[in-house]
Amino acid sequence: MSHQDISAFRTDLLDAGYVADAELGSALWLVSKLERPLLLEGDAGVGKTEIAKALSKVLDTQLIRLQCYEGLDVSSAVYEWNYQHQLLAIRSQESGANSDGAIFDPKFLLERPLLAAIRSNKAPVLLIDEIDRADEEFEAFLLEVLSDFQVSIPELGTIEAKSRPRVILTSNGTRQLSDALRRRCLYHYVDYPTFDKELKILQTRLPDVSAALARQIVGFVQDLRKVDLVKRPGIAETLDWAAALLQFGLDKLDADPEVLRSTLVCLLKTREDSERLEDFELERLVARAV
Amino acid sequence: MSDLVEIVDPQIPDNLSQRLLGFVHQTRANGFRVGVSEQLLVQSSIALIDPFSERELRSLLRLVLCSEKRDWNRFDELFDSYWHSERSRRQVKTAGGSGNALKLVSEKSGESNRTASSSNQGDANEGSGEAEGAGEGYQEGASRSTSIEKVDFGSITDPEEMRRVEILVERMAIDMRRRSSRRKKVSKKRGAVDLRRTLRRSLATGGEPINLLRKQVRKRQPRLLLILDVSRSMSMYSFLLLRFARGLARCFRDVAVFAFHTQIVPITDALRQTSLARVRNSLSMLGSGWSGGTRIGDSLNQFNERYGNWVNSRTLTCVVSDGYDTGSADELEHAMRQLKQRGRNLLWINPLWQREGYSPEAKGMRVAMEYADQVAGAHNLETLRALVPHFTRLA
Repeated sequence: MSHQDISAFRTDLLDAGYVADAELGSALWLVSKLERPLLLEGDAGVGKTEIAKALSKVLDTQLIRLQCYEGLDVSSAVYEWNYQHQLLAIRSQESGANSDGAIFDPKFLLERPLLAAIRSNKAPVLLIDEIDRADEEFEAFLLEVLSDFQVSIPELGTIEAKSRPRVILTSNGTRQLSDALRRRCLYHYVDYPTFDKELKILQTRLPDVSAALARQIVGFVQDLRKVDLVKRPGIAETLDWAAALLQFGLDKLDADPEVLRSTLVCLLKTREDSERLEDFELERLVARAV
Repeated sequence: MSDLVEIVDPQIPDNLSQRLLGFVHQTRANGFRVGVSEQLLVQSSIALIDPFSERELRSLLRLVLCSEKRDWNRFDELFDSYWHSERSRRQVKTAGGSGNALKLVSEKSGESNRTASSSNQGDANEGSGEAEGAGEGYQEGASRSTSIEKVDFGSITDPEEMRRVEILVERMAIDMRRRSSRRKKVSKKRGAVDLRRTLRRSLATGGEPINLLRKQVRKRQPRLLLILDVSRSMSMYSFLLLRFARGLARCFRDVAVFAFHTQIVPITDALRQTSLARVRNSLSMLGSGWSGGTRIGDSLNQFNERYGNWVNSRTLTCVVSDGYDTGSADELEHAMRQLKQRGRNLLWINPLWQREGYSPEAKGMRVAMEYADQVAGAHNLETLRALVPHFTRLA
């Protein structure tokens, strides 16, 4: 029974434009059943953020995104009082226009992603993106929110979740995450896709690319990832490149070496990498792919 | 064993439950972060899937029991060795991957390893509670501090004494944690206006925000980058400095450690291993290069190319090397310039620096002196202790 559930779920994901392998498909299915956060790790550009977007589409619910950065604090992640509004309210109270004394009223509260996720009526998908960029202090605070799904606002009291958000955290591994956070989460490592999977993704996203060219593109990128590069191209780069080739009207990779070279800006994102990929190396890769 | 609870779901056959419990223990014995809550989650979620489908069982257990990439990569091996091994099918408790390429540790053999190694003179207190051993050594060392403080690390020959020094060195690094976590107070004169506090305070003045309160970005521990030279000329000091690095790695939350001789190798994860024997094992990947020739410039350039992006404006970069370079000085100069530009502070530790009769004649050292913000020594405990302020400064 459950097996059918999982494959139906994978089909839904595919309809939402996301190609999930069996492993990830069942992981996401379990996340929605177990009500535990899912920690996704993997190199940049392997489609971690897309997973959350697809999940919210499948579950037909809102996606709330919290982008983490160094120095992220409670006032930009959870809530903030609307001070300007409060000051005006104080003024108007002084002139006697309004005798309602409370300035710490929910109507002066600015919702930030975490509070929004907790207060929404239908369980949203909460994407906490690049958690490794946030400070350790914030990570500790997040642990509290993720275990109880409640937020304390001193002036108002504790706000409990109306529905449990489905939480997806992503990390690029720029910093070690704490054991406590890891233990609280289910874990999935997102690797670069296999040839078949990447081909499927390309064909799902860009149906205009001919089957032959798609195979060449994917073959080329798969080989390129094996070259010693500073920044290996992810799926997003493959899609960009395919779109660029489409724009130039190339139907074969070896049709026009010069145009091909100029489109490589989509794949190679550092100066070292584009210098490293010399012409003969490029020719070799093209020859292999074709 | 006793802290893992057995929960028997009536829906699940008894022996499966037992087998699952055994597998959870097995993963824990192999260093997975698995506690009671994961155990409970496995037992309660097993009903969601078809437990007799290997694929589903595998992906559920992987999802719940793994918590980092290392676990992720080892999981299949563990899973197969547990569920497919003939021997383990008969007896849960002794389930272990004997004759396995990865040398998976089963609980029992792990135990016997430990007893074996504690009878072994070399790493006596590494396997069993290292903290205890360290504490003991620390006290003992303190009472003998005057004599041991100035002894050159290179001249210690007694292995007992060496061990005591190693423990002291690591302790010293760990002690920095307490000092560096002290925060500076929030300034009242500089920084952006803190509206929340200002408004709260203004209630006392009838809603008129007369006193503006400000908040300043808190000073925090910098990011630490340690690059250790493990070539032959450093061999007298490198294992000791490795201990120091391990201590530092524990007290810096944001840290990366690399070792080089002719190539740069990341060793942060290796240093995080609990037992020092394992640390040494992991470091054996440095292989023949350990204590071989040195190419400082080359290695640092490699670092800049591959991992350079990790260095940011909050990074304290610390290179530990004696500056004896068989490569060219130009290479080193190029590397040092980049390291200095990228990071906040560049500290060069040369173990020989304050040794009597040392003069920096190696050309590598000349370049280092030109680019480093500070050069410091580390040949005995006293000089090592003098390094502490460098590492406790906030950024």
